[in-house]
Amino acid sequence: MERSFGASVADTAVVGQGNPYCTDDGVGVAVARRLPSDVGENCAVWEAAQSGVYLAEKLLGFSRVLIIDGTPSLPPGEICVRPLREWEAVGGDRRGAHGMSLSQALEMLERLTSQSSSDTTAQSNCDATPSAHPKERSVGACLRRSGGACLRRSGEARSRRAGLENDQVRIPEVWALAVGIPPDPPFGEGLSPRVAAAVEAAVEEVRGWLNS
Amino acid sequence: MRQQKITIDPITRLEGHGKILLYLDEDGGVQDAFLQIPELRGFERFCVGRRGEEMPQITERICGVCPEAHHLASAKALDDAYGAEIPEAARVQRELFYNTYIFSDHLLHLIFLGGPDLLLDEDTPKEQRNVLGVLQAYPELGKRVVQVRAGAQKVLELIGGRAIHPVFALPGGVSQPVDEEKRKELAAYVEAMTELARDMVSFFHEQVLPDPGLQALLQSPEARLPVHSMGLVDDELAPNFYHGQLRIVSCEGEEIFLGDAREGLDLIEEHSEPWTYVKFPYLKSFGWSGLEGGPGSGLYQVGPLARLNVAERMATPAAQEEFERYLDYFGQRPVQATFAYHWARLVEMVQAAEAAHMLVSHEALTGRTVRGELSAPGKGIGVIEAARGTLFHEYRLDDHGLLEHVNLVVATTHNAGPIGMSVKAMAQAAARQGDMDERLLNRVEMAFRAYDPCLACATHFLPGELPLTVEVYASDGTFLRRVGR
Repeated sequence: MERSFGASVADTAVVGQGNPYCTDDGVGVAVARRLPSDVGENCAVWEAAQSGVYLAEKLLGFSRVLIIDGTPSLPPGEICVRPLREWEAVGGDRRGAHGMSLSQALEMLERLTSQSSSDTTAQSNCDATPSAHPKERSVGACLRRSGGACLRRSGEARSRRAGLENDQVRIPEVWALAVGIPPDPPFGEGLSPRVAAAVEAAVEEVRGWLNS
Repeated sequence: MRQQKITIDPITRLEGHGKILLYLDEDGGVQDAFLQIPELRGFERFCVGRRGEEMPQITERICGVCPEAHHLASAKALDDAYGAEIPEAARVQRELFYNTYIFSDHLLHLIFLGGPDLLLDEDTPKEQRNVLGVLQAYPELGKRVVQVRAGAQKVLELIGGRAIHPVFALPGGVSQPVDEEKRKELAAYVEAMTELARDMVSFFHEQVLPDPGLQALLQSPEARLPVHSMGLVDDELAPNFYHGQLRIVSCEGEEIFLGDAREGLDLIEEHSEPWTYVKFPYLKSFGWSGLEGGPGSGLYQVGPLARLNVAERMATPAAQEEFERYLDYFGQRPVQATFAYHWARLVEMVQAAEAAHMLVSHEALTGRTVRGELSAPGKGIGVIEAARGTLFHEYRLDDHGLLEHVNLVVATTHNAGPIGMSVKAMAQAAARQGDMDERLLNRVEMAFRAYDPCLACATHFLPGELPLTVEVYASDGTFLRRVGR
């Protein structure tokens, strides 16, 4: 579990999202903290008051991720588990700083990293396509001088530790476990009664998801 | 006469929304522009009564953008409150961590957030004028940025102790030493950072700067803001993101203050306006004269542009080289072009990468003594340069180490006045050209984005809902329209 000091090498992540100093906004963190240390094999458990691209980048390299978060889109205490994209489609997402949802950020990262990783390919593309955007051709030239070598030097070992394999980035399958909370939670610690009563049921949902 | 009928958006969760209000004059031009953003006073009150040593982990959750900055500003405030001397090994760890954060954050902004302003034509269709449009134009660059940022995030995790929300900084030092094995791993990631920083400079000069559109923005008279600048500098008057003296330089280039950064809070006061929760800091010695620039105004800015305005040089060689090219281009000091924030960010990114490279090889990094002795608790102030600007954490602890008083002044608060002024100037220019919809919104967003505000209301170029709206009111206060995506 990620709770130990040092780099994570887990395959699965459970992320309790929210601010534990903002009462019910911290229900995701509360659920994560209730999970036992051996909740799942090769599973990291995190807390995150981040979302969007800031969180998305940290999820690279996991194969599956479950985000636990509070939402005013559900009645307080109600629980819903579904794929993240489905959840966001019904307006249940948390817009991170800069207003990007987590799945949008992951999509962006996937598109960013789905380009060819071969420096030779990039070079031939730049040279062989005179109609390509002039800026693109020159970027290729710029990278040929130094960047391609840097990509190769990144190396498999370092890439895997950073969540990357063979210069490709693994984008996880992401699910959302949403717990209904009242709107506009004030600063403070602790959960309101109906939300607090949902924590144990949410913990069981996490176990079920890990075993599925 | 204009009626002041302004509704302040209710504050919801910490990722609140932002709103820009534009008031038109009788001729349809923009008479005034105001920026509304959420405030954090409730958070400060919540912290009173808590144990001081909890603050590095509480304050880093203020928002999801700069946890590293709040974590270390808080630790520094506690260092001061406990009268602790930080062992060299702890200082080097903290500085390595912090320079990595600055590098990573600036890189994110340059490519993902401010990138479309730099890398794409202003007339690019809106569905393409986002980071995905950048990716289409520069596919290999985007991928490499993701890889190097992933490595930088590993540095932060290895030193900080967690992938998210670091736990390593304590009053008097840090929690654990770095061994040689970890140092080697850190060094590999840092090497990639320095290589990318150098290549980004080449890319900027070959591909970005020659673009006539960017040149026009950099030289635009509407995008010039004559306000003072504030930032931390080292003994050589080079920027130091982690620690240093506070320097304030006037909009005419004269030094207003150079001294103990903890005195900074005594130099500023805050002015309230009825239409926003945020108070506007200004230099006390100048007094409040409204949201106006010029040598007699007390308004000042922070962040990359301001830091380069208060610096006489950079701390590392490649950054110094780029700094000289930057100054040659603008031909005057201080630089007042709002869109120079982006270039200043690039210069700082280079310094942060080079500094991290030096620190990861520092012999003290693997030192075993990582925490100093603590004295009796008292008052403490921690000052640090967040990516977006100067951040103050002020605490007063009682004899038991419990918080009696908390005061946080974040970067975007310092910049609230300048942001509003920049937005107003850009909106006025767009309105003069008859653009009251898409182009107006573009221009307003570009001005806003240059400052990289550390709140969720910052604009972005990513597909999806934009959390910033622009409302337009007639000269009599009548609501006319809302411009948003």
